[in-house]
Amino acid sequence: MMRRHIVGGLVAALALTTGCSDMKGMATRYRAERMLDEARREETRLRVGNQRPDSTTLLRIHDAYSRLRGAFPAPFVDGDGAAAKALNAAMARLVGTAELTAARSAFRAGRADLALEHAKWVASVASADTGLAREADFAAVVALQGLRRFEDAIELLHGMLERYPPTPPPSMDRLDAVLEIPDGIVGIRTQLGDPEGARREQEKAVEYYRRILASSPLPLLDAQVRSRLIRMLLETGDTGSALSEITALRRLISLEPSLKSLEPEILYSEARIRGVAKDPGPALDLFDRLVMAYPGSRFGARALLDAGVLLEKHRDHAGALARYRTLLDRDPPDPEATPVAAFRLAMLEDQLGNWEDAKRTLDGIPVRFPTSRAAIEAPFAIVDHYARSRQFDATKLALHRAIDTYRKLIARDTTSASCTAYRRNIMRAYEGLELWDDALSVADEMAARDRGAAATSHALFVASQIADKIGDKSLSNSYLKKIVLEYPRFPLLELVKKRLRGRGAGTTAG
Amino acid sequence: MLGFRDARASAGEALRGFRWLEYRPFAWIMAIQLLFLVCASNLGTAWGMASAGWLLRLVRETGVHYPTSFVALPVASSYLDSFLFVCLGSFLIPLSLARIVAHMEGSSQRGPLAVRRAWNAVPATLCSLLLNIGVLLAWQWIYLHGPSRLIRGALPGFGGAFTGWLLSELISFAVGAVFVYVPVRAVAVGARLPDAVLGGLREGLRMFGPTLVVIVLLSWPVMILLVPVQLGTQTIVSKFRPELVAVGLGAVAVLNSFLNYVIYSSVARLRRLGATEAEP
Repeated sequence: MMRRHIVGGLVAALALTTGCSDMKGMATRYRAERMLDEARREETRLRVGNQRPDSTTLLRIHDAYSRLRGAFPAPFVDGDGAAAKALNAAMARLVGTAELTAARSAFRAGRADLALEHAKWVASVASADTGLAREADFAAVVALQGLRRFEDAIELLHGMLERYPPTPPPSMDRLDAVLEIPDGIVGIRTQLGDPEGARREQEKAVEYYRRILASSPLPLLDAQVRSRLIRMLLETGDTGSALSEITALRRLISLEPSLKSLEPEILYSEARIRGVAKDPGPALDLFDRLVMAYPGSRFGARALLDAGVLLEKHRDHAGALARYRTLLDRDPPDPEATPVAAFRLAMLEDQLGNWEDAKRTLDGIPVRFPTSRAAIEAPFAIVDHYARSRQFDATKLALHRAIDTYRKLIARDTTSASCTAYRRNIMRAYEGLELWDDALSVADEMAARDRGAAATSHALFVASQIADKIGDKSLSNSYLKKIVLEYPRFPLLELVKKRLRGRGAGTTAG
Repeated sequence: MLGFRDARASAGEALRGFRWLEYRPFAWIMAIQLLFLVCASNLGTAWGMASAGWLLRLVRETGVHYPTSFVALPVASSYLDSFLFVCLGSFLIPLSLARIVAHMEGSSQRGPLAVRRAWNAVPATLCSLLLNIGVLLAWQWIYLHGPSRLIRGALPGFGGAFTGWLLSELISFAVGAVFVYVPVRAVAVGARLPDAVLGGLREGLRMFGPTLVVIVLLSWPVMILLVPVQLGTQTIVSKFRPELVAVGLGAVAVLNSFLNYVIYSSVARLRRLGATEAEP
């Protein structure tokens, strides 16, 4: 009898606790964690001995992670108490993490559309979890760039600047990724070959940084924002404002010793401001002092480059060459300054009549710095040299080599924003070689793959001229109509419309 | 004076003389241990989370998450073992011993006599088990503040961890060899608490050598199983399947239960042998 009572009591207690939604919620979270762990194990298994998995493997990894979303539909846990809310947030983070990993795999597999869908779903469940929402938005930006929807990506990035105020860092070597967004937007515009747009974004960035400073942030964040503001002001050429911000930053450093690490940046900014003056001496002194005092700093690399440019401007070619060479010898190379120095070194050597060395340097740029702007320019710099010196056979050969180089750069990273510029240059090369059909097929490829890019509208305009040249008026009209329909910001839009009207063709599709 | 041969003979006799009725009290403890492991392996269910999850959460906050629940499992399992041995073992160990002794005496193994003998031995057994745990906790404290640093300093990595673990196991066997006679004496003689405890401890010290030999001789299979489960938990969880920790602990629980019975049975036989030798 006694035993029956004990067993009955135990069963009742267990039933009561297992009926409790907290226990159910915790069990659900546990199952989600186990499924995420399974997905990680599956990924490890698929990646063993496969450092660069192919798209099929990547999509299998994607499938393993995306199973969580199917198994645990939102809302993840029933109830509206504090515990249920905490469990729901934990579940959102778990499933969200799996979804974002699935998005990364899908993106690498060339399925940016899938990646975007995952990122949007995570953003929809993130609700109060700002960290997860930010990660989702960053993933969406990457996916949009992969889909070549650069305008949408930029719009989302601007939205992120509004939604996520930067958090003060625990130390100066940590930085909130949100602060990098303005630079990122300028970078996208530059890569798209839109200097006007880049300029506008720089101005917006200055406004954004000033808005943050106006909210009196904590000293570390203040210093990080101010240093970015100074850099942006220098980019826009507003040296006066940059100088007053430097004074403010110096004052901040004197009050906060932990900000001493900003010293090289301040020295660099000061040198750049002095570089505007007629006498380059003080600026060069500051650049040299920076290189000597902070040899490991990334501003040391920039100082060498800027000193070289300054010396070039004042016709001290030997001094400029020495700075560029010092920069090229630095290990590891600076990803931003070194490719520019290599390109300038080659141009200077060409000017000084040392073409063989210049060509060797130019040939090496796409290999050593494939993601740089210099890699886009280098093959055509060789073409330009031969064209200037009227070596027609060598020019043709250089054009063929340029096409080959750009194709290799595209194959290296098919989702890079630079692909638009590579394709535009391939088209230019075909134009130079008078291979009209090839040039037109590249224009068609750009219309499909690089839709919305400024370079594509230019390519379409050139394609219409080529079509005119080969006597295909209807093809020419179709290119012009595409510009009217899809590129309302094309600078020569009025001319295009006028031309279409002159030909008696409407400006509507078909 | 009893020696190694006597120890080996009593262990052999205990193994050959296995009886389910005598072993059953240990099986009850094992059943609860296995039930806990089943619950701990099913934290994805509400009943698993409500039962084993509670203890795992006590051990560490990450005990209710996957796969860290399996990292916490060996510690939680050892806490449960200690609790079960103190609370249930205080009655079940004497009950098993009462049946063993009854068989050796040729009296009835079932019925109220065996149960009364077991109940009478509960206070002494409880004392001995608590003292045993107390001494082991004290040793653990001394070990952490002294020898542990020296061993890890001299032997970094797995070598140091293994040496420390082996030393701790041997110490626990030695402590167990001293205390194991208390319940045996309490059941066999039916002595009162002070006499059972002090007399048992005296017997334990007198027959320390052969008893330790019996324990070491019988415990090595469990030790082999325990090495990966206790020292390689993190590796099993991260490199293999976390669930293997529960499987390993289940195997340890089954083997340990059987060997505990055999050890008590051997010690009861060894004590009887010692008493026979002492007679003129």
